[in-house]
Amino acid sequence: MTIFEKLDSLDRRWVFAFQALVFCIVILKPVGLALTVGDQVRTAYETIDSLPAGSIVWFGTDYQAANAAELEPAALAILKHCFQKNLRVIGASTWPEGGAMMARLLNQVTPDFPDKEYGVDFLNLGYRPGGQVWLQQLTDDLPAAVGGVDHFGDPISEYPIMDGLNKIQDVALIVGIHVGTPGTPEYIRVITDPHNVPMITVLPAVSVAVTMPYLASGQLVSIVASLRGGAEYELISGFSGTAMTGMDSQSFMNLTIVIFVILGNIGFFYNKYKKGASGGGGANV
Amino acid sequence: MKREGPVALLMISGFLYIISVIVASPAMEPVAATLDDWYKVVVGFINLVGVISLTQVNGRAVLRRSEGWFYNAILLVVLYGYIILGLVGGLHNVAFNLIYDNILTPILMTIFSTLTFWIGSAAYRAFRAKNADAAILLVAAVVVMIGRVTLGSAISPAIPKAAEWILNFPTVAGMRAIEMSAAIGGIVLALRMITGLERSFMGFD
Amino acid sequence: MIKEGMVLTFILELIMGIALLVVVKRARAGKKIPVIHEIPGLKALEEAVGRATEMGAPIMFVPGKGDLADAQTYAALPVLEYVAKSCAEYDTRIIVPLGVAVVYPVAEAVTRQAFQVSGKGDAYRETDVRFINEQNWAWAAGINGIMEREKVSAQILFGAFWAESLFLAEAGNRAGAMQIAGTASTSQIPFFVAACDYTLIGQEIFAASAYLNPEPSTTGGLVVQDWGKMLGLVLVLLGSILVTLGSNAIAELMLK
Repeated sequence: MTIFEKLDSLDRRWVFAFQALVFCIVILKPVGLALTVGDQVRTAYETIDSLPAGSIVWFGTDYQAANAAELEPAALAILKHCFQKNLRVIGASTWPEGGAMMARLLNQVTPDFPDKEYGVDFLNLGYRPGGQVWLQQLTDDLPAAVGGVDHFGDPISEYPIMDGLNKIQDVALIVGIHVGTPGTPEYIRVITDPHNVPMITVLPAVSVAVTMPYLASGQLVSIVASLRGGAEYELISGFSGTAMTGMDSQSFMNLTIVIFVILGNIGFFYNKYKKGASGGGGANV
Repeated sequence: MKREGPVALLMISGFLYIISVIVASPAMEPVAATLDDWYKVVVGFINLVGVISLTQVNGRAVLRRSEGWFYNAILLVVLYGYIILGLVGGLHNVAFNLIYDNILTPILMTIFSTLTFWIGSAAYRAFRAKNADAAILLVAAVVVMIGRVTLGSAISPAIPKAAEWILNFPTVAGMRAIEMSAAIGGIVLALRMITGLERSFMGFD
Repeated sequence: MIKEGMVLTFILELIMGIALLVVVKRARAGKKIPVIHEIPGLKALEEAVGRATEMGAPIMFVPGKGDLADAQTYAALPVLEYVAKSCAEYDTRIIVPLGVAVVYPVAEAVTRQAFQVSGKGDAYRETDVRFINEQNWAWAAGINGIMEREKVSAQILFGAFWAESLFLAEAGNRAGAMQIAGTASTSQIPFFVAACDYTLIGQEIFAASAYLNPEPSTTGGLVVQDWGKMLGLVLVLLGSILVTLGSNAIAELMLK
């Protein structure tokens, strides 16, 4: 079997090995490819930047630890931007791990903003069961829907941040960090669309294509997509993080896949040609 | 009655819920709120059923000393150990949070990250220009893969633009078609369920 | 009386509900209704069971990660019932790993019932329908473990899936299992198409019940589903034309 024939059916471990090799090389020796800020991230940045100080931004941390590497850089940059603009932040989730995810974000950001106080400038309401049903309840009576307590089970009635916050419609902006269901469509269905609450959504790359129709219909302000979106937000906001360093590795990992796809096709056409040349009846796939 | 009871319950609650969503009536609001609360309570309790299933499957393996029973034992120890840890100290518990942040989170991130390898092998196998359709798919995939990362703009500013166009137009069109037809399928399924025509999910025909 | 933004929804659902009852009544009376075209992925279910029987290896049926509020879960259950019945008839083992606790008792009841109606109630192994984990990666890793340990011959992935879809499908491919997938989770369809032998796309999964169990209530539903799709198409076309001509009539109707 010649090398060209083998290209059509390489053992998948070769693909894995080359991907790992390329990743290690690029992480150790970054190339520093130029990054530009796209329209989506610029819109997200400008939307947050234009909110008056003291406005409440609702962080819907509807994701889990597995997605943190891809989504956290964008979430962190946005959270830092909110604190810099003196916006107040409330986090809550329909996902069981979401409360812990919000705690992770706050634990990483609050040391840079020592003047920010829990219950005054930010609050973590944690996870509540019920998915879309719970989101619907937030539009009727927010304190009742969360059961009157925060992520840690402490009563929220004494926290100043809750003053005047009776329904989720009272928040100025929703930042949804979403990976599945419940996620962006559920928020749009029961909160943002019927009650005209603007929403920016931070999504993994794979969810972008399915969410684009909501952007086109004006039901979303902006999509901050994946690690690339995080890197762009870090660039525009000036809050450096891990996303920028991941850009080169992402580029070259994609390139590796493309190279293997091309090699596979070379093998495929070589084998097809050989079959045709050996009198196989001129395969016409 | 064993059959008619659940079907009748489904029909009544289904109709009531639909009415509460569509009709603006103060009388319907408590009905919808009560059904919402019931759903939340049932979902909360049903997690116990999951724990019972896990205990049954893994406990049986341990008792019978099945192959790999040691791993079943570890699962049970971790399951109940972590539940107890959470119940004792709540979310203020340092050990509970340390385990979550330093064991569970890195493990989950690692498993998720292996997707990049699976995508590589699946793309290598699937993207063959076997015919004109497959060739278009192949070219579109390559353009999007390169155009969505910084490498694309480094090669040519046209590549990210082409990738954006593919995502904004052909992809959105296809996605909308699939989403809309699936939504209609879902509506008809729901109608069949609340009219009692679909019963297979109840464990009887 | 009717909530704002709900008028069109109400009218359309009413039309579809009435149409459903009329078509089912016609079908029950033996009157002619449209014929269902073949869906290769569903036809392949027989092949999957046959293959498993020949190999003496189990089949894995994964009913997705959706809960009982997800229509896709309900679309998957009749398929589970069909596959479980076939497995019972051919004395083939079926493993059903669950990632949502609330679906577990339902899937268990459906599988048990399928074995009982096939007269093989004794062959049903209750630990083969098992809850793995609510955490989707732990669930997916658990399924892959079963796939390797039990040398599964075919994997059927049906229902709502998220990022774990490729993880499951590639692991199945690596294990050499025949794979049939069906989902309306649009972001996951490309992964299934790339890694599985057959893939049912979008609304095809809602047609599965009618195809596998052709009776008036299911085929009638499928007919109405197609009519609904055509109605949607007409509204989209009409809306597009009117917007091009400068009228927002359809959009305004949807807001009423």
